[in-house]
Amino acid sequence: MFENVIADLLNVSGVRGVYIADQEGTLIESESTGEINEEMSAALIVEIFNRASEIVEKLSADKVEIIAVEGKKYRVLVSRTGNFILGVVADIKANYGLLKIEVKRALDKMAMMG
Amino acid sequence: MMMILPKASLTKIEKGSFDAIVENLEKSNFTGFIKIAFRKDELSVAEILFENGKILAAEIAKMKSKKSIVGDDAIAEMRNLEKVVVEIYTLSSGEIRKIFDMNRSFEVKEKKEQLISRPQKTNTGVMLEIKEVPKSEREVIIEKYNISLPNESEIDSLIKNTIGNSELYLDIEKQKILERYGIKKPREEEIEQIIANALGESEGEVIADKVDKDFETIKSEIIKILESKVGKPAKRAIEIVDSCKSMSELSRNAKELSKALKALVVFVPKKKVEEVISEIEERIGKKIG
Repeated sequence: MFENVIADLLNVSGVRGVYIADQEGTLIESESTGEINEEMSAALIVEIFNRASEIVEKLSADKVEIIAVEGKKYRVLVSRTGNFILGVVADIKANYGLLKIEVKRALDKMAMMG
Repeated sequence: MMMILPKASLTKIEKGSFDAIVENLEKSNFTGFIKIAFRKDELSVAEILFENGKILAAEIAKMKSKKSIVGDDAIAEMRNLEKVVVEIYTLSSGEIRKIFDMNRSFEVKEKKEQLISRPQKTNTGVMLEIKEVPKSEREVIIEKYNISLPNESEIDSLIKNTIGNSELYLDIEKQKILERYGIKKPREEEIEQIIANALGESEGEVIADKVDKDFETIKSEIIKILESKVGKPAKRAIEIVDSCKSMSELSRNAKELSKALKALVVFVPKKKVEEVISEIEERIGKKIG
């Protein structure tokens, strides 16, 4: 369903995995380069989104646009369009600016297709 | 290896079968490129260049194995795919030409009719390969430049405007009228006969008129024949011929001349007399016997 979106994001240098899930954390579509449990990854990404949204709401009465979680090796970006939640796992050295642009473009395409 | 494509703005996204989407693009004379994402063994992305509905170049890039399939093989690989997502990017003809020049190595050479042909199931369950009839050069040009064919009346008026005053056109028109009413074009002789009839002249008179023109020559020839073949006994016949001043007068005196000649059988063999008579008849173009 979202093969084009996933392919575009995987084409960005350093991207390791792309996950698309619904609001309940059910995996819709994904692709990753390593041996990762994709269903669990999708559920965890939705969990990040829901928790962060709650916190942002309580902290600043604002809505989440993009969530970026940085580890030592990887960076995780999560965002939402309509009923879909998109998560991208990339190397920490991957171009963050480019990654954000591609995530936004992916969200636009998902909105067109949804 | 990936195709070099510009950052164009997305026109629309379509989902469905590859063949149906490509066929629609071909029918709508689409110019631009499309990106197709699909899963066949692994996630793959294809890019296809179109110009006026014709596929120029194609490439499939496999995401995991990093393999690349180009040209005709790429199209063959995607044929019969039922679930694809297609991003459509519209460009101008000039832009697509430049892009194609940069991506020559991905060129699709296979003929269009072979690309869109696909197996069709018959009632008996037999799979048949139905191919489009190849288009003639004329049809391709008509389609390419969106030429609408003129109707019969337009063709007629065009011909009339171009050669309306020429003899050729009048000839064509005459031929059409003759054909319409089932009239046969008369032969030259028939025309002459019709004219002669209209003027009230008999065939014999027409011939006599022709002979009139050179009457003096004919008269001298006849006299020569009589002198050389009969000699002195032909004196009376020579006098008759000599007294005539025109061909019509000679025709009137034909009976008398014949009588004078036939009377010669006393002095000359009958065969010779007949020979002379026939020679005179030949000269004046009329029977005298």
